[in-house]
Amino acid sequence: MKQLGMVLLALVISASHLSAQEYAVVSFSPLPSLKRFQVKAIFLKKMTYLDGVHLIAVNLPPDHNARKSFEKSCLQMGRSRLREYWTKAHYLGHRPPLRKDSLESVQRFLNTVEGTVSYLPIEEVAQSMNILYRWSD
Amino acid sequence: MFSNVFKSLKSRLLVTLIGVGLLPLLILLSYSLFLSQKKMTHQIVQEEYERSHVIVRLIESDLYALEREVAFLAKLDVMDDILVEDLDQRIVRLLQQKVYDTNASMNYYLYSTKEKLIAHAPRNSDHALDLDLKIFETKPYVIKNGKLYMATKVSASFDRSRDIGTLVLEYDLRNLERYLVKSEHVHSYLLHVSSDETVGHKVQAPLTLSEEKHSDIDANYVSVYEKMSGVLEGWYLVYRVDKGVALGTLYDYVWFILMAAMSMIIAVLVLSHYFSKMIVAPIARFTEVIQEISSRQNYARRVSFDAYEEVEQLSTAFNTMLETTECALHALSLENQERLKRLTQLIEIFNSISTTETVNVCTTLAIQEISNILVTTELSFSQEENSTQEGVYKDLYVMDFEQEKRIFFGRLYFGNHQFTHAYEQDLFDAMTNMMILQVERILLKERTHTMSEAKSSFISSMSHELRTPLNAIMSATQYMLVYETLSEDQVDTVANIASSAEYLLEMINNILDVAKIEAGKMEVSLEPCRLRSLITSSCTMLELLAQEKGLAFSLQFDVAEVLQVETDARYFQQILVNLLSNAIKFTEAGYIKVALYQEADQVVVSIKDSGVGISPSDLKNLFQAFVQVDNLMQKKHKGSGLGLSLSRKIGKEIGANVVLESKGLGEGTEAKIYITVLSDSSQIS
Amino acid sequence: MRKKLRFLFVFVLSLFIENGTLSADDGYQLGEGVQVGSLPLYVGGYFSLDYTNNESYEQYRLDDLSLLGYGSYEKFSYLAEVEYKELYLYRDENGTISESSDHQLQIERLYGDYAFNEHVSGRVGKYNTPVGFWNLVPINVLRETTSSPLVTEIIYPEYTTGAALSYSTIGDASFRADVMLQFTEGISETYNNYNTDEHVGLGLSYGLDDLVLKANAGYFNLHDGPDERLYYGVLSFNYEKEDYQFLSEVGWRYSDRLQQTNYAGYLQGLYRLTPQHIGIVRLERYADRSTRVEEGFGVLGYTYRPWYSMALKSEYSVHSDADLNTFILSFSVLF
Repeated sequence: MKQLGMVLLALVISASHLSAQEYAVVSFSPLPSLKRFQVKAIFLKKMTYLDGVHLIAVNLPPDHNARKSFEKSCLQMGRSRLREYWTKAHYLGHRPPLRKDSLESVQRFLNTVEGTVSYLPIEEVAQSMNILYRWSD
Repeated sequence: MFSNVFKSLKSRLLVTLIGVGLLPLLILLSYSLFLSQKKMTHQIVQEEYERSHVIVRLIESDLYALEREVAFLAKLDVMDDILVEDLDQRIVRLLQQKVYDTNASMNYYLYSTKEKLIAHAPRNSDHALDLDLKIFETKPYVIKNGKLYMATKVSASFDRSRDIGTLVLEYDLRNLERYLVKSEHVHSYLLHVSSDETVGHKVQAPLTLSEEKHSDIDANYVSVYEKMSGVLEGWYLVYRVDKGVALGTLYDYVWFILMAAMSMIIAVLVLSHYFSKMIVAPIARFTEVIQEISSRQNYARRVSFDAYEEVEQLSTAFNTMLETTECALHALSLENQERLKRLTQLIEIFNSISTTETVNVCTTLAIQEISNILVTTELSFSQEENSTQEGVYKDLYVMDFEQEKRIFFGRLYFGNHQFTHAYEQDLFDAMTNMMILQVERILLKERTHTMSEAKSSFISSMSHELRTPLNAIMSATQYMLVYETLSEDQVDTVANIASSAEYLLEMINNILDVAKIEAGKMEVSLEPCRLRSLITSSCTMLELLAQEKGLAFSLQFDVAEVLQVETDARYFQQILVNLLSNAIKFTEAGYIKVALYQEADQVVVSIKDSGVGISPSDLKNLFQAFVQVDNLMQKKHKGSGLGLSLSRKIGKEIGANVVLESKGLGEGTEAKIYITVLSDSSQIS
Repeated sequence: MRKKLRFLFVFVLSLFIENGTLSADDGYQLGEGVQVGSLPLYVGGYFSLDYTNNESYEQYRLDDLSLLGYGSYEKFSYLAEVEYKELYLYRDENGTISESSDHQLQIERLYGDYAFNEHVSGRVGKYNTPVGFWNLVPINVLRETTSSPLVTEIIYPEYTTGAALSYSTIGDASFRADVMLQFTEGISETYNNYNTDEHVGLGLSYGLDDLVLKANAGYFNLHDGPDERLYYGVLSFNYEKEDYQFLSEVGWRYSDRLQQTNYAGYLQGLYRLTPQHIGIVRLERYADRSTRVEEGFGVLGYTYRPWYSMALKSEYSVHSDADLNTFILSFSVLF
């Protein structure tokens, strides 16, 4: 499993050198397309319901390329600002999004838990997934 | 038996000391042996219980912590990975880390809601959980085959209402052995009562667990046990300690107490014996000294005991008593001497009073002596009955023998003298009585003397007056017989008159002699004279009379011819003739034996006859004047009765003692004259 | 007291230790709290030590020792916070030394939220009055300076006890409306700047990326004072970029009876030299009609944050009256 992860990671890195990597915010739940501001609100936990669905934002590990790209392009917030944000959120009684360590588990989670919203490199997005937002770095 | 024991002070002391010594000891001993043993046992058990209780708490808190840990793990966000079947191995790593951190024999199993095993740790453990998960629907933990299973539902962190699996911890109860002890003497183990499941080394000795108590002491073990709560509900922690080890200190203590008690009992007995002996010792010594004092009458002896204050006081008191006794005895002896002296004085006084010859001397002496004895000068005597002298007095009466009644004699005045004691009064009474007696005696003596003198003078004058006509009668009758021619009848009559006159004259002479003697007018001239010739001449005179009556007459001399005695020869012959004539007179047949022999410095003249004899009762009166023995011979032999009496009286005057002896009537009589031999003539022929 | 301090110290220490063990897996960081036991509960807390020095006094203070817990269950969520205010205060006022310690545990916040739908949520309990920006996170460690701008202290009540309703919608921009309602006495009002028994407020905010504009208005009634409404209005904006931030709030307060208007406002600029080293400049102006004081002053600050949840702050305020110039140093931690 670990080996597979490494291979994929290598692929992703090499791919990024070749051309701009494309990502998508996805969910299995029937959600409408989102604006960046909405995606940001979801991942900052400002928005927890959408169309009656309880939204569950799932992050990848901090050092994951997809996450780095996500923070840079969608949230448009640096790590220190995010840290500040979540520290203040803790004071206000909010938790940061869940985290899964691998793309596989994110996919499995997306598949298993209704309302899950996460982001994946576009090539990892399954046919059945509902693409809510796309970006490329 | 006990009464005897308690009579002795030593025994009492001994019993008391033993009692006083032993009672607290016995109380202490019984306390130590029973109460303190009970307390100590209780304390030991309590300590063991505390110890086991700590273990129970440790185990319970350990298991509680485990329970919390399981619950904590189940609620972690990472548990959401159940939903992705732990693809990232995060749960497994977490559980492994937990197992590693806990460092105990345990396994975690994580099941999804579809009972699919999602993760288990450690990795090398047995995969399958040999348990149906449904069992946890009723209770959160199960114990099976020595393993504890704890289960917790896992819910999604993003939606706590959503169950996503079950986390099960399989915990080997042997992990708890680290809290249990297995040593030679101490065993502790966990026991499930109903299943008899055990954790730790179980001691095989039987033990019944009771709900009510938490300890048990049997032959081998001191056991404490405690029911556990929480996860190990229904289990007991049993803590068993070898009895010898657990109660070792107690046994040592009891042994020590017993030994100490024995030593103390012996000490108490010995000390009690010693002290009772010691306390009583002075008393025993005291007794010995007292016995010695009483046996030797040594009242000068003193006791000295300074053993105790009390004995010292006793000896001091005793010494004081001895001193008092000694003084008293001394005073008594002085008083005795004084009394003896007083008695002697009294006797002397009585003597001097009794030797007084006249009433005046007597009374004067008596008054003087009484004054001396009573130590008073106020005593005075008056013979006047109607004296006007003042003061206390005592009237004295004497016996008037003529009137035969007491008459006033005189009055004794005491002045102001008071009798201090009754004995003084008695003494005074005795002395006055003595005086009275002496006065009476003097008076009586004076009267008797006067009377005797009167009698004697009467007799002598009367005899003298009678002899003159008698001599005239006798002269006339002699003349008639010689010179007148008379008829036979006349001769008989005149002869009868002559013999009667002669007899009368003789009697008068005798009376006169007696009177002379009694009046002290008999003139005696004592001079040495030869006794044989005196006797021979007298016998010659009377031998004829004996022969006339046909009596054998013998004379025998066993003394020397020259033997002399100092006497009045005339009166001696008169006595001899009197006695011889009496012998002849009262002997009708037989013999008259006269003998002269010497007995020591005296010579004896014996006149023995075979006559009528004298009864012993008559012998006593025979020598009184005018007494004649009344017998058959009386009518035949007229006599004045003065013969023997006169003989004896004359004998006394001339130094001869006349004795009459008879063995009884019809046995004959022996008369003896004892007379002292002049020393230079006492030679036996 | 010592016992409680020790307990807190041990607790804080244990959180650091827990942090060490958990961070590897969970990415826990200081300032994000920990989950406790089996409950849907996260706990955290914070404290602050500060030192103040100016012409009239010198002061040491252990302030805001606080413990908070929160959690959620389905559409419900809650938050509770208890706090020792001014746990220890040492003040040397020109040689007059005073020492005090308040051991009274205060309920700082206590409320429950319910999300009716994606736009509407309600709240009941005691909460920080959502006026402006400063008062949303008013604790030392999360503030930019140790001292707070006057506008946040004199214009409106910092805490409201009652109900709140919010509507928010997020599209290309975000819009949010808040309604605050208080008709009772407050909970643990001792440390509220105004002890109120009535408060009605309305807030509107409009956010567009890095800029947020906000307007608040309302009135409140002092519990111990005359039955008189105090009206207030606050306008504020926040513009924040990665390295710098501009923040401003201006507030007025109007009293019917006194016929006077107090105002206070500030403009604050912040620049992050690095995420750890931060410089602050703040200009303030205020008017207090009752004391007839109207003045402006400046605050210069420097903050060092080894982590965001730990702050070592220094500041110096410059007044027209030099005697009021104040130096403040503080150390504060959120865990």
